[in-house]
Amino acid sequence: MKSTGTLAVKNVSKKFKSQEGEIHVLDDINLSVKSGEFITIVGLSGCGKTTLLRLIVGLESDYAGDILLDGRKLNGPSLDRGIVFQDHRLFPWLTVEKNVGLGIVGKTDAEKKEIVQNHIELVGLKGFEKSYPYQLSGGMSQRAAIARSLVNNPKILLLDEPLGALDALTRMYMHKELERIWKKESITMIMVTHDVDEAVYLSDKIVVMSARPGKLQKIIPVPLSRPRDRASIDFAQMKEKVLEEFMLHTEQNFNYSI
Amino acid sequence: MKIKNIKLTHVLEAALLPATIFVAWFLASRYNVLPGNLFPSPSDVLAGFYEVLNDGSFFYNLNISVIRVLKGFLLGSTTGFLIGITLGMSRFLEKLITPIFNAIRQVPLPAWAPLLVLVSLGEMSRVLFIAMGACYPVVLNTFEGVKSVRHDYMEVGRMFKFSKVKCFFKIILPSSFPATLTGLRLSLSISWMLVVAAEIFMTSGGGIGEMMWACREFSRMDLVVVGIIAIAFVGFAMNFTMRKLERLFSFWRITLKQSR
Repeated sequence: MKSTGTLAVKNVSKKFKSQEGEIHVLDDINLSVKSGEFITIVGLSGCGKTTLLRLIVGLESDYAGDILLDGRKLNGPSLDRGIVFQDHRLFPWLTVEKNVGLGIVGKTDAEKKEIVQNHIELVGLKGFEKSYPYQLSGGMSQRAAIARSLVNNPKILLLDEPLGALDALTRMYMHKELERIWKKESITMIMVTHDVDEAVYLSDKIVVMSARPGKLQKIIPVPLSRPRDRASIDFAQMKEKVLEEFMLHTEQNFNYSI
Repeated sequence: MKIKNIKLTHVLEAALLPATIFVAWFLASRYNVLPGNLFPSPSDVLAGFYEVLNDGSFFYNLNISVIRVLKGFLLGSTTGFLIGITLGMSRFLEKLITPIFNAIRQVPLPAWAPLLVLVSLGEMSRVLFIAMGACYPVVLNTFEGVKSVRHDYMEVGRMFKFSKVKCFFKIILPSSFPATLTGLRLSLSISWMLVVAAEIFMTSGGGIGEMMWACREFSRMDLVVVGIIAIAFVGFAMNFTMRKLERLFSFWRITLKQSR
């Protein structure tokens, strides 16, 4: 069977040791992600959502439980999982082109060039190949970072609040772009965010986490058709449903009077 | 046009103080405020300069000094770079070597002169003397550069399964290079200062320092001043060139600083 990017997180717990003793960051997390799904993990700061992402990507080890990608247990980072960090982490001494091509392995120079060009075009950065990161805006930097993370055709792309630092309008524009890239690459995406609007706009499933220790509070499927309309009642109701989990919803919604 | 104007004002600003000092010096000599027999007047110095220029000794000695400095600088900075990288990369070697390095660093360089003469009576001792001084700032800056490579960037390397060698050449080296360049600039200017000392402590190899020392013996203070001005001038030019290089190679870091 061809591996396609299904992920199973089983009974995962994670503790950090500090001087004051152990801190329980994640407690008994269970989650399964289907191939090609878009999942967002929503939670307050400090609920361990970034830690969960780092476990899945393989940057943190030493946890209890199992994380399986296509049925096989993870062992450190690998090229079949890509990540986009909150800060773009482009190397400031390299051009966009060189940054995007950074991770490509086992290709000839000509192939490499083509892959880089394709991915730069995929994220809409054509014409900025020779620019340096300091010449790019925040949104453009994240586009380059997304391109960089996709060059090895990973099965899963993990996104750690990649749009958190962008202004509201750029962020909404990037939602559309991200959805387009997700469809085009038919890839599994798992994104951490604390923006409920973003979660409802993009996800097939929203995973709500609670804090200290980080627990999985609820999984909310989002059955809305795409592309999603932020102005629709369904969209607003979906948002309310997520906000309810944080006790942030308005008690009486949609009271229409004529 | 505007840029040119700005540059011109910069030059004028920079020249203002030296010009003032020169005028003050000229007036002080002219009206006998300075003891003329001890401190040369500008015209004495010009005449002296003309003299050493004509008999070829000025450029002969300057040439020797510059080549000597470059040898010492290259030897010292290369060694310093390698030591800095090694200390930055290996925690074990850092613990092992840093204490003794810091102890050695505190010994004033002239204190090494007698030992260096034991190593070699010739050019080698002078070059080693300069190399030792040139080494320290490169070690310290390169070490700091390697140590301050962002952990975030190393994680990007881990994500792409970079080997240790690839991590070094793709992340650590480019990221720490601006710091190394700062070290190199300091190193070159220290080397240039040390050449005079080297030529005084370990004589008979020629050079601008030895020329000045000999002139002192013959009470040719005008030529001592010629030497001082020449040293200042060459030192300035070296520093200027290194600054340009630093800017060129660490454009991304300097731009980051400016944007903050």
